[in-house]
Amino acid sequence: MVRLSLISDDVNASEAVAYALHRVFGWSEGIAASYARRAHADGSVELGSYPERGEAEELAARLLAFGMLARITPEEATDA
Amino acid sequence: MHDYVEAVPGEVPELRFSEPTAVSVRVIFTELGAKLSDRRDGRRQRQFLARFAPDVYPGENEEFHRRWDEPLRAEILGALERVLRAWDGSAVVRFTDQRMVDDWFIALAHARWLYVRRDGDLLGRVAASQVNVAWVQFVQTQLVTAAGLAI
Repeated sequence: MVRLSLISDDVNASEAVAYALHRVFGWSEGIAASYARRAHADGSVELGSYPERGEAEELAARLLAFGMLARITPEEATDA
Repeated sequence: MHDYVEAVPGEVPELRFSEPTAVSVRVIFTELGAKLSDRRDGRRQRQFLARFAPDVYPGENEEFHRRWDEPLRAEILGALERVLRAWDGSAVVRFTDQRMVDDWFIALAHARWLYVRRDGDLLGRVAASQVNVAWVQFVQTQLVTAAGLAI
């Protein structure tokens, strides 16, 4: 499993981040705006976990196309 | 007369520019197109392209860049070319479909990398870069407003 996050940078405005999330993930404007605000407040926001690295890369590339910064990290194994 | 960009939301959203602002934005888009199409492999060009396709993994990114850098460049260039083909620099832009909004958004998002690094450091002549980045950001925010995404 890998985790995809959006990284807040010093360049993108919250409005732009929300628009990108709305378009890439198909989220409602309200949900996209709330993720954008969380990224701005915390420096990053987790967008989802994916079993395949390829799917996460595809979404990361879409975010880069919209001018965003994305991060893919391995999801740490948890004890059963 | 002052420079302006105005968002006009509606069924067919619009951006209305003052004439000098429209000309400036088109010049920036044209410059971006030239830089993105430049296939020379010098240090400056590599640094420029790295701003479009930054690393996504905390460690090794070579495979990611091998897979995605070219599709990413093609997508951005495609969006930019459609914008430039459809817009001659006139003062009113009418967004007749969603793809057109996305194309403008993508063109504006990446136009900034002509003037600023990902960490926010300005490039070249700082005062001029600051003005250009501010305008590009403002046009992008107005675009989002015109398209109806309220934050």
